[in-house]
Amino acid sequence: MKRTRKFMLCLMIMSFLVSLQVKAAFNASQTFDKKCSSCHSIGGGVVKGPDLKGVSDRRSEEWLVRFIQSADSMIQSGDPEAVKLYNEYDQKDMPDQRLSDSEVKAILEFIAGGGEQVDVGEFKSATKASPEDILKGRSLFLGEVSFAKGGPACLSCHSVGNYGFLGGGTLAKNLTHIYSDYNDKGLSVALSKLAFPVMEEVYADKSLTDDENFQIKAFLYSVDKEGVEPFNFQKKFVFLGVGGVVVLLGVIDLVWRKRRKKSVRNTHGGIR
Amino acid sequence: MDIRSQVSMVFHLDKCIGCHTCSIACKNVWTDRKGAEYMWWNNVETKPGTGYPAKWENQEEYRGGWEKKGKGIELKGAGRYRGLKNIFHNPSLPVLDDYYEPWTYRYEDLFNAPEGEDQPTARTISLVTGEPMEVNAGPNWDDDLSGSPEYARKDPNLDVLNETQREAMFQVERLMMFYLPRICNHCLNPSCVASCPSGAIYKRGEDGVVLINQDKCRAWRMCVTACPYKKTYYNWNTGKSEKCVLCYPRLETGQAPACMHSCVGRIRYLGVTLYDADLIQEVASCDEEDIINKQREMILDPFDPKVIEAARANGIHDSVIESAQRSPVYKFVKQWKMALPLHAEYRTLPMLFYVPPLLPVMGSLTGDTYQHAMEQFFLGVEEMRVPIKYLASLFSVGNEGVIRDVLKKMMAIRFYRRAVSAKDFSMDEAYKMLKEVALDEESANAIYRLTSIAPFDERFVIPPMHREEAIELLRATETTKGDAGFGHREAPERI
Repeated sequence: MKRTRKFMLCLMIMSFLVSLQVKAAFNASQTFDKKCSSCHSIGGGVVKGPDLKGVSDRRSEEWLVRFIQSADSMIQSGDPEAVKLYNEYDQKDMPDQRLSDSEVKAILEFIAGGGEQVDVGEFKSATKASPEDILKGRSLFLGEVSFAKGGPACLSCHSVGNYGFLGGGTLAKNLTHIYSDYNDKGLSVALSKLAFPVMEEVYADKSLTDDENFQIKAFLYSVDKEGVEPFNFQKKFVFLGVGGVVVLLGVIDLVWRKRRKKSVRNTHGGIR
Repeated sequence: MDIRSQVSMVFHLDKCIGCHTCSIACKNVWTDRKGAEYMWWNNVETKPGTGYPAKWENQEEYRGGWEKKGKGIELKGAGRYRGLKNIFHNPSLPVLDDYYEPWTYRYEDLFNAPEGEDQPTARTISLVTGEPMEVNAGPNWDDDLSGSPEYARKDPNLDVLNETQREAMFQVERLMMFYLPRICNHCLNPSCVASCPSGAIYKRGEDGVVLINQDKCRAWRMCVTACPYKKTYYNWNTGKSEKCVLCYPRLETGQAPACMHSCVGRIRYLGVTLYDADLIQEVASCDEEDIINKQREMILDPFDPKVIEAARANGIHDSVIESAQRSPVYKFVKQWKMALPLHAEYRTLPMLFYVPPLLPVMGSLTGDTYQHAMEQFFLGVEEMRVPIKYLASLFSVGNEGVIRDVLKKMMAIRFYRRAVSAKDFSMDEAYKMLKEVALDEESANAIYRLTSIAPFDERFVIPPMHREEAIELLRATETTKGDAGFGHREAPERI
């Protein structure tokens, strides 16, 4: 509940920002390429999510619009078909898309028309990455080295493995197993587009270079392979807080050790 | 030479009868307000005793005054860095228990009590909480040595004595006490002024009165810690600190401060002194044993033409210089060297001086007769009940010689006057005694006169304050010309 609320707030802020921008003419092909193609193909088989060829025949248009706009809330509300799909595809979340009804319909038309396959090109597989690539990717991820175009470091929002102070960022998804979640190519496409609701705005004109894309992927591959689960700091924070207070009180006691601890005259009038 | 004028005071302890009239006069004029009930800008303590607030002289406890660091001096409990560190919680403050919880009585109980077997009584009511309370401390709880083991034996000044001397003090033959009335010393190097983070405390240019600007005070209470005499008080109702104002509104109109005016024993003297402000730093940071003499040297001779010239050049009015020439304080402190500052080791250069008391001699037991008077009523200083060391710890930074000199002078004058008026003492002996303390007959008579029979105008030589000139430095007075008279104090409200 809390997360959804936070997310909704984020969404509202983002949609406000978006509404400020001059609306370009809607291009279904480009939008599909940008927002959908990381996970879906049209007649190209299952990528991460299902093949969308003939999707309009399988589901009603109304259902599709609702699902695309917010798959999460449909699953939460217990729509049987949505839940079935969710389970079928290894319970992978589909990000909510900020698209109006008419825009979704335009994309559905584009899919129904067979779509023009945009060639995403070939990507070097992470399995071929050298240890140096992995190290560079690690530095980029942790923000030790800045991205060429100035995008913020991944760790600001994401956590991965046991990297980063107190388990890394907690604003967004944990990326330890993102490499297995997406396949190699899917991850490259996702990294090149970064078409997730918040990231889309943040990296609008700060996309990753091809090298950075590969290095990050290589790093995520190595993390996935190591399979070190992130340490859950959430519960630890309580103990850290209590411990911190004790330490702080100790320091205060030490710094002000010469303070007056007793009055000279006690409450019964006696003199010390 | 940077000559300034300072209204300063002498309290003659030999004359104090401990009646607290001064305290009451001050209370009625200044501190009879909510939040100020516990304040005694003027208080009278019995010595030996713990004083008010309890053990105020123990600076390891309250951390007041200055301490020598290298060549200079630093505040003991406040200052730039220590003040900043402690600004949100000042750790050396006296608490209400160290003073006392002020109280009143529910007088209506006397009238409203239902008829019963006993007399009705007025219940004690706390002036802080308004609830009934048990009284177990007050500002003069140890008055007249009451509760002696509890209070007198815990006097911080007894630390200078060894165990035997201390025990001897409390034997019945040696038991003694005297009173120590205290007000703000209006110091030349005030630690309260130095400690204030808000810059609310200042020393008035024309008369050296130390005041707290109530508009600027931000209740940091650093002054309460910094004043070694504990003469600034925090008003919990207004959230501002307050202190003795030396009744400046009275001084400005030529009247003596309320405590001095009301003094039954006429122990108080007030007058202006001229001093060299360039020497403040040097004197405040000199070696402990030199402080008494150096502070005395700071006070300048108002008859010296060079001093007069420099004073004039510094804007001191002729009438103030003339007043300084008649000042009883100048005579007692500088000319006759009889008045000494209280606890000069705090290095604040206090400008309230005390003439130490001549206390009774030791009693003795001859056969079954216990007697005080020996072959002569007044005996040598050494025979006095009070250890000189104890007085030295109060008034001369431990220098017993200084105290002995003053006491001998007082003794010599008594014998001389006894020889003159009662004629039961040989005049030759009296002259010999005067010679021993380097006093001529004229001075001896002058001291006698000022001590015993001086009228009001000789005890209080109040300089003209020239507020009309002082105010012109701050305000353009001509702009308010024509503002006086009938009119509205506030603009009428219009709807």
